[in-house]
Amino acid sequence: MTGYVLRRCGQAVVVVLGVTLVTFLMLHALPGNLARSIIGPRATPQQIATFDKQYGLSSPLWYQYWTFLDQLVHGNLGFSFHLSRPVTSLLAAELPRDLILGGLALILSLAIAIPVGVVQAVNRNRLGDYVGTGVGFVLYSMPVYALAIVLVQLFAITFHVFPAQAPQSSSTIGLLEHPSGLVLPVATLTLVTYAQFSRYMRSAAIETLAQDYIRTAQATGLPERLVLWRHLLRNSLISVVTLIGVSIPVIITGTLIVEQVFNFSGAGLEYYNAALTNDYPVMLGVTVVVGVVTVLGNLVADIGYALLDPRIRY
Amino acid sequence: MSLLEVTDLKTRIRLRSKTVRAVDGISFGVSSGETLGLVGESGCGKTMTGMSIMRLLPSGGEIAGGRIDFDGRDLAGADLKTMQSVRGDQIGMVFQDPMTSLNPTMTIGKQIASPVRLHRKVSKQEAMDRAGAMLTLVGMPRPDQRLGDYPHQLSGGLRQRAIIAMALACQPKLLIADEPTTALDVTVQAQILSLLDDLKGKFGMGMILITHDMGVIAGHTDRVMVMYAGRIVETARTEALFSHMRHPYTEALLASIPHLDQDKTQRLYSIPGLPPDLTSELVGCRFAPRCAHATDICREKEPQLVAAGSDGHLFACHHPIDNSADALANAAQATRSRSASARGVAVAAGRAGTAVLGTASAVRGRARDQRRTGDGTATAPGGNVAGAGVESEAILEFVRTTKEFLVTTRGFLQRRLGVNHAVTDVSLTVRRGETFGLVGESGCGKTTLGRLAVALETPTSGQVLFESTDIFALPRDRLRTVRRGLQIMFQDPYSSLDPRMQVGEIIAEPLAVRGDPPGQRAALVQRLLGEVGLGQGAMSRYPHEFSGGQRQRIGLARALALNPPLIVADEPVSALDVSIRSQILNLMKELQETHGLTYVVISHDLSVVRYIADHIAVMYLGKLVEIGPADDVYSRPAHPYTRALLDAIPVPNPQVEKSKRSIAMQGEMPSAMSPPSGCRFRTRCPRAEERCASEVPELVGFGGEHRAACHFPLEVPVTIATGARPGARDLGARDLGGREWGDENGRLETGH
Ligand SMILES: Nc1ncnc2c1ncn2[C@@H]1O[C@H](COP(=O)(O)OP(=O)(O)OP(=O)(O)O)[C@@H](O)[C@H]1O
Ligand code: SF4
Ligand code: SF4
Ligand SMILES: [Mg+2]
Repeated sequence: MTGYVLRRCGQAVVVVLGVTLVTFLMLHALPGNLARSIIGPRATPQQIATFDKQYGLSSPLWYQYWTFLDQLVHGNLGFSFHLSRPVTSLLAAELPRDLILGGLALILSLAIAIPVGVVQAVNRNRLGDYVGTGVGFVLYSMPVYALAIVLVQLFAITFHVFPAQAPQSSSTIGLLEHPSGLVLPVATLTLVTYAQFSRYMRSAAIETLAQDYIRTAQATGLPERLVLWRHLLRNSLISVVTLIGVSIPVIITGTLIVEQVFNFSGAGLEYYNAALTNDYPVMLGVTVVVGVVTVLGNLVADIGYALLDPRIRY
Repeated sequence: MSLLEVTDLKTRIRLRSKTVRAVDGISFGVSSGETLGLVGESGCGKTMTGMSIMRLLPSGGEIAGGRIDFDGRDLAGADLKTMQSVRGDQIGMVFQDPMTSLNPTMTIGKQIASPVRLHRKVSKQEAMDRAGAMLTLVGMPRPDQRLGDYPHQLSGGLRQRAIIAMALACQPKLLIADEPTTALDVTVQAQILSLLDDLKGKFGMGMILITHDMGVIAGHTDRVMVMYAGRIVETARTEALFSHMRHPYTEALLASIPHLDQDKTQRLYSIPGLPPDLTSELVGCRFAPRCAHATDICREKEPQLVAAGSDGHLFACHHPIDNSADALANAAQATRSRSASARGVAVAAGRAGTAVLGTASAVRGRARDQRRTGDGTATAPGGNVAGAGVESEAILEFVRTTKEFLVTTRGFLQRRLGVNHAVTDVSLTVRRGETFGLVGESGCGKTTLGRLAVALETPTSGQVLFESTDIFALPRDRLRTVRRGLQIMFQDPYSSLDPRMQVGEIIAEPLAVRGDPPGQRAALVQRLLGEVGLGQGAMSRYPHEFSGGQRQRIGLARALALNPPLIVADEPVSALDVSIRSQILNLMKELQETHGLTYVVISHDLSVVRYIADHIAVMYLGKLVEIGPADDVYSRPAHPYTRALLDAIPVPNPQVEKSKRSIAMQGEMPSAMSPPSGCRFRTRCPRAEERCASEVPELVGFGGEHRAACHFPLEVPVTIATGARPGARDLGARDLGGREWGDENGRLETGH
């Protein structure tokens, strides 16, 4: 097992390197842009050359990449000229807020989707199952912002139960001090993620229910509840766990939109602003972090998969 | 009062628009210490009978009437709680497929301990101890280690042992075993069945053994119930059923099994048509559309069960078989067949066995004289299948062919785990126009060899010659042309046909690939469909609209499309019911004659291969252990493995089966990743000695083309100089009942 985890970690490092390289190359596809965006559209070629020289932008690309990697390893993601602060400190302030948003949504959606999927599977093709499938389908096909607007309209404007805006405190702790402001953003993201998981969970559970070993367990007199708990759950989770890894980019994109709608300051909002102003160190930094998080998510999912399924050979 | 008493049980399964009458008014009883066999074709309601008793019917299923009295209560009306306390505690159940019947994510120990914990209210540790004890009881090697193993770490046979341990962990009073050995190899089947017999005795349980194999019925049941279309058509004590069967369906079932000494020149008997659709209203005798003796009254009035003699023998037929006259005729025939075949079941069998032999022809026509003609052909020499006897040219040759598969971990960075020695140094020749049989247990490499023959695999070393050219030395485009002459027919008629293509398209596909114009294709497809016995209407239908047997016909038509000289048939009939099986085998034989085909038939079923093959090769763990003319290999097996395989086949004859003194072979085939040194069979061989571990045995001759690879063979090898055979051997004594190793050869016996 340890060997397997180490090997998977090794693979993860290779993938992260690939991610940084691709992002780096894409953002450097148009040379000179950076200087122009910092100094302004009227920048003379000479000014640009001086700028490039100052920030090492005139050296060969591989050298720049190497410098970038070197800095990255030392925890330095570069400097945002627009915000006049290091990207690292920016991310350190914003990322935990996103982790709270995305993490809560992930956990909540699983906590709902797993039992609901099992219940739907057990009662498949009955009314409850049809309702569940219908709800899931509507949520699945709805754009994130539309869903967010519906929730805001319903819970903030019509009924005033929750605020329509995320807590505006600049610190992460401040965010948690006003949990009611978190409800709608988290709910939006949860519902979107849930829609995906519940469909999978339902079909995984239906597939598992049809397996011979379920019948074997029933033939030993095991009560239904225990059949579900001991035999169905773990086996259907095996196929869903892999999905969690794959769904992380979806959650991240969702976070980006939720941040916009609820004015929730986080890395997504920063990324959006950076994209508008060509603030490429910020874009690069966020992309790298997102890449790492995705790879880590998949790594965790794979390890979880190996833990759940004894047939996997390490 | 028996342990279980089922009275007029009716089980229905409601589907969307119709209702299946899966079990339609059956009554029977099982006493403690008794095994009741349940036999019949697929879909006749055997499983649903068992599931009704357990009350584990599929969704939509319900008991529509009748009583199930078990140990003082009626299970038919019991509530879920009562049923849950009965299941696993009072009644245990063993299912067909051991590969899927255990939870893959839970250890064996936990799964066996679970019912003990549930019903016995003991501590975790006590339950686990019980699980360990059960594993010992079911003959699991190293039981304590196995407790922590997951199902995938065990072979099929060991998994079935674990499932039996789980079913019996609470010492139930009744065990329902639904086809417990159908998915297993014949040698392992023998072990599991005798284990079940043992445990039944030990626990004094009653047992219901569901099977479609008359041989299993003969050897392991006390009473038999023959089911057809949800009804009981005949029930009797096992011996009585085989010796005095009264129902035409029972007789037909038996007649469609190719037994080991089947006359190859005769077509196999097959029951025409299919069992009725249980969703429709059935009038009259349900077997009437397929029964050779049906008259008007059969089609109008349903026959009721009536007693035949004493001892609970019942049958439901308006025109039962008059077996007293038959028995006499059969006895006469037996004498003849003994002198003619000088081998086989009949000899040791006595009267009951000969009844079995007689049935094939008996069914075809009741008239006595007609049967006599049948016997005439049976004893007539010659007239054999093309290629037997005559030396024709080689069409396919394996020359020291070896195929190894690299076994790696899944995923991105594949780590090498080892090498699977699927086929090791096999040399053999298949002649034009013959049928070559390839037999052995699952995993012995027979399918790989078949795939090598049609260039679906590339050998690791050695050659495969087709019409004397090494097909793997050919340039790509030539190989493609050669491949058209090498067709393969697969085992599973369900997964081997594309469900989204019409049958016409499926058959025409190879023609289109070859570049035939569409008009020509259609004509050829029509002809092919006719040849395999399917109507023109089949062309525009989809595979799912056909039964298993019909799909196998489609597969055969597709294989025939390019008019290949050679067809490899990988387990062509093992997924089919006995009656359908004989239809396909007959068809294959017919087509061989009309098309001049050469077949390589791969099968684990030795009686099927025996019936169809001229030459046979026996494989064990990637090695060729014995090869030769079918008659020689079957009548005088030289290799202990061949002998064990033959002995393990359940013969549909109670005397023979019950006289089998011991199980043919213990243990299971080791992994092909690390085959034993020397002779690969040595770990299971009763004759193994030191030399077997150090020295790989070479093939040596036993007269004619008969060769086997063993240091201590069961026959005396024949060198070219001294062609003499041991004179003391009495062929008649080598029946399937006498199971001493090397019994008729003094030299060999002194070796042990
Ligand atoms: N889950 C199900 N839903 C609907 N019909 C079913 C179901 N299972 C079985 N049947 C029907 O019930 C009848 C009896 O089936 P059953 O499985 O008892 O046959 P069997 O004798 O056990 O056959 P086999 O030898 O193939 O196991 C058949 O007509 C079958 O089609
Ligand atoms: S009742 Fe008639 S149709 Fe039915 S089995 Fe007997 S002879 Fe055949
Ligand atoms: S060589 Fe030895 S181990 Fe192998 S079959 Fe012969 S006697 Fe048995
Ligand atoms: Mg069945």
